[in-house]
Amino acid sequence: MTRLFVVALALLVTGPAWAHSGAGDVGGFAAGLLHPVSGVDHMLAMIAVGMWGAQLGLPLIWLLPVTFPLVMALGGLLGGLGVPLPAVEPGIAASVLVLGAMVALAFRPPAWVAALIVGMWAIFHGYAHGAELPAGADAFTYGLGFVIATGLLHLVGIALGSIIRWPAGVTALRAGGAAICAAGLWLLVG
Amino acid sequence: MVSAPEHLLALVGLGLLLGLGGRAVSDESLVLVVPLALAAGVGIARVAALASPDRYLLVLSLLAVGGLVAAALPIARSWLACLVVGAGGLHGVANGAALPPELSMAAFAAGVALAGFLLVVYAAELARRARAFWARTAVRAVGSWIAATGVLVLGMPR
Repeated sequence: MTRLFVVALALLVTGPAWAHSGAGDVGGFAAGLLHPVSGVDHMLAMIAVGMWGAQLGLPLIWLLPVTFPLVMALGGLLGGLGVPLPAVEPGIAASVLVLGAMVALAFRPPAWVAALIVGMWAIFHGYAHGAELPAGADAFTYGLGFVIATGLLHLVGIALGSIIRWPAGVTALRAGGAAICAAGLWLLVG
Repeated sequence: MVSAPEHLLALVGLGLLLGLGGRAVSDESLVLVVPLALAAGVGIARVAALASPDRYLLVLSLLAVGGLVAAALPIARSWLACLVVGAGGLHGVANGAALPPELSMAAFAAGVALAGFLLVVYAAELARRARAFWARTAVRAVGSWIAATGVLVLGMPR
């Protein structure tokens, strides 16, 4: 017990050893990783994509989260290059509303229509992020962090959507979609 | 050097691409071509005193490799070989151009080749073992993430 106490005390008073500090531009990666979670509108839309995918089942449960980051990156490219795109912020709010409504209504379109819906809104999200890309950050580490964060938000949505396997979960998921839809409406008019 | 994200992503993507073909890593001779191409690239960069390739060339390799993994289309072996040699050589040159003059080229090239080989072997075996639908789709998702990172980098200021 005394040994355990000594070890615990030693761990408490010891500072962490930061090996390779700064290697690989940790700041760029962290900035990219945090960027998609910095706005509630982005977060809700990406989680809604995962929830909708879970609701639609195979193969869309995986195809929608594949589509969104790729098309969002294209939007980011447009934003980074300064190509004009009208009504970006209303478009983002509308995406939260529409994607939430898809979940709330348990809408089941053909796979290509679902991919088109998701891809269309992904352009707005990517554009907004692309226009805010920091000049100082390392491009590759920032981009990698950004894409990983986006994918992980989709996975959160898929995990939430997995409640669909229980009868009560079907209703709960649709209620969650309705809440996201309401948040989108609030963002749109607010 | 291989740990820089642009090289890491390309090598993981190459491994996934080779593994998606379904051949065992022990039977896949192209896996061995990757470290050779990397080492050759390091040597060429050092001997010819080449500058690091343009960022857009490295992005192009990410788009090609990530896009092909995401699409999971059957690719002719000759095209796959060209891609392995081209991407491996390109990233080898990028590593060789960053080699400090006081370091031994042979040791550096061997290190880069070994690290690249291990990355490709692990990624290829992972993709080869992904037989379930969800597992293959997860591999394709990683490919799309690699390509998306490349697309995003294109829009970023230098």
